[in-house]
Amino acid sequence: MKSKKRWIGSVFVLTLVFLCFDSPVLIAQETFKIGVILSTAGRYGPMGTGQKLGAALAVKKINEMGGVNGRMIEMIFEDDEGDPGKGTTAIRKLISVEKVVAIFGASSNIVSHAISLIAEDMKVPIISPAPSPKLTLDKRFVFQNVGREELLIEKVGKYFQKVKKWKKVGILHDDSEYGMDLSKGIEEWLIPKGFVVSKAKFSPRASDVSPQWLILRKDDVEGVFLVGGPAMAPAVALKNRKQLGITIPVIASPSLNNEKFLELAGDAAEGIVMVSYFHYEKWTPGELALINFMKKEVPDIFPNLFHALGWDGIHLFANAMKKVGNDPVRIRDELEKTKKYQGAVGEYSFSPADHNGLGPDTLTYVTVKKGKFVYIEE
Amino acid sequence: MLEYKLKMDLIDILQLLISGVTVGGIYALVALGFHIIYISTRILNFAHGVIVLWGGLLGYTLMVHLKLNFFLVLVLVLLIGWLFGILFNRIVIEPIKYVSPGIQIICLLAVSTVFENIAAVIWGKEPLSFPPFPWSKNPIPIGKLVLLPQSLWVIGLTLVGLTITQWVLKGTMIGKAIRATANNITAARLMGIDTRKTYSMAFGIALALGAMAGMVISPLTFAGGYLAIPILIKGFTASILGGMAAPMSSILGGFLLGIMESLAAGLISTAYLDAIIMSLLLLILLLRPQGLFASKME
Repeated sequence: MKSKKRWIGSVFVLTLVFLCFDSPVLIAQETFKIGVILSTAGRYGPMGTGQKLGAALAVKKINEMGGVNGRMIEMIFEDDEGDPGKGTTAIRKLISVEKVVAIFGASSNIVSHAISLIAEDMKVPIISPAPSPKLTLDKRFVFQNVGREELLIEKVGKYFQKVKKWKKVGILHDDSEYGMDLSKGIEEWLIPKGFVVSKAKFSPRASDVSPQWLILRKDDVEGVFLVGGPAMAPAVALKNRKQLGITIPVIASPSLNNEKFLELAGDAAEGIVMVSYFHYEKWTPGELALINFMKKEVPDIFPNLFHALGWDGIHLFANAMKKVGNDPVRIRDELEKTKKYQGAVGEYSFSPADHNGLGPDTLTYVTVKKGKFVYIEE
Repeated sequence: MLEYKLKMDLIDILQLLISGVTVGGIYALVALGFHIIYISTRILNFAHGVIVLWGGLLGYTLMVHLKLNFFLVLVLVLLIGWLFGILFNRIVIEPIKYVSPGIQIICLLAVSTVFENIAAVIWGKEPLSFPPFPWSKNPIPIGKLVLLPQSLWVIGLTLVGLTITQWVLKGTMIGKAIRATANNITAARLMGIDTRKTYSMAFGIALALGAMAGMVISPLTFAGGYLAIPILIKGFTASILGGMAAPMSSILGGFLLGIMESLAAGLISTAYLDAIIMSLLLLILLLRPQGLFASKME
């Protein structure tokens, strides 16, 4: 029957024509894909687990509020297990196979370095929560959303110099990349200013840090900067300090700003000072946004820096995508235009020359009282 | 010219010795278990670290979640370790008993990894805070020195472990059977010794000691984590250092390793600690390859 065949044919052709144009129904099913590469096990476990949760919550919140211009964000997660090899495999897979348009990661400095090179090469913007110095140097696609190491060094140095007015200080650090970089950096800041510096190193897997404390006590240091993280060996170090009856004041790096560290150190952490991104009780608007959402979604978990890093990473990308859509290069361009964005970590202002974007006001001092972090007025 | 000023006075050196002996005690227990297995079966148990991990975690669950009495927990952990040892022999060792040592090591490392991850699934990936042992809350000041009660527990339990092991090996029939099997497995079988039983017993004792070691270190540090391989390396190193000839040599090797680490860190350098320890070990092995405390060549 000729008319029936023609009818079917016409419907068929019309359907094809219809499919050629981007139907709104089809677009809504496409998502903005962000690849997330973190370590949720091993030494960097507490960092990666927190970052992953922060990122997932950010995705949930943005999607709950309608997504980005009506499109949902999708987070595709890969665990790098602290191994640069696994990290590079993951990022290649995410970009080539899953076709993500942005990457957040990694938890550790070494993996961040490895995957940043690939992101730069494949022209996909990456935001890293790892404080590796020089990570963004001469890179067009690599961003960092945690404070530059120089900021942290200034903060600690000023504490020694202006707040406490000490002359002889100790640096107790682990031999992770973070610990080695920071200890060298702070030493280079302190020595030209006339400080006498005593350094002692411990293993991130140490079960006893007593010899290091005995050395620092012998050298008569007035205060100690404890660097390492994020929980295990530094907690043992504080326990040893308490057991030996040593009362030398301690200021700790922000990597220790988490509940697991407080749990493992117990009352040995009482009274120590810490450099922190969080303004406990004097919360910034950015911090409050995270805290309130976490109270609602995961009331048993208290927010820490790692949650904030994941949360901010996703939000920074989403803000850029809102303006320019799905193109990685344009997302990068828009990221560079970010000015005074109030995140949970701090206030970000990026530029083509500055891919780190956090200023000195990002950091503050806190202390530990009765097993909780408490803000200190400067 | 090398000028070296002694960094510490006598009090501090004694303090270093105390912490060295404490950590050394743990190494000693691990080394003892490793040694027992080697001497009885000629197998280098590269899965030994993982029972230390499980000992700490089982102790944690029994003490924190089930809130059992400490001494009961200690006995239970020893028993469970012993049972694990017997099962381990049946399931893991029997199939690979006659395989070349290289393949045995790889199999055992694989088993170690599997059980490490099973532990992570059960208890989570993060370390857990372990409650202190009885009478261990406060350090004991002795003049200017500080002695941790936990150190006394470590030393005490290590000596108890050693004593029981010596008694089993020398004073019981099964102990004699183990030693006979170790000496010559074919002759032992011809004499009617059930070598499967001797292997089981050896692994049972070794893993019980390992599990106890895990429980004893946990209040000082924490329970859980990915510590199987590092602990294995320390225990193995202590065994080699002391010599594989007698249980006592492994124990002494363990204490010596702990003391070496502590003294090197305190008196020489913390920055190059690993390199220093490894160099000393190489030196000792070059000069006395049978181990420091062995009386005869292996």
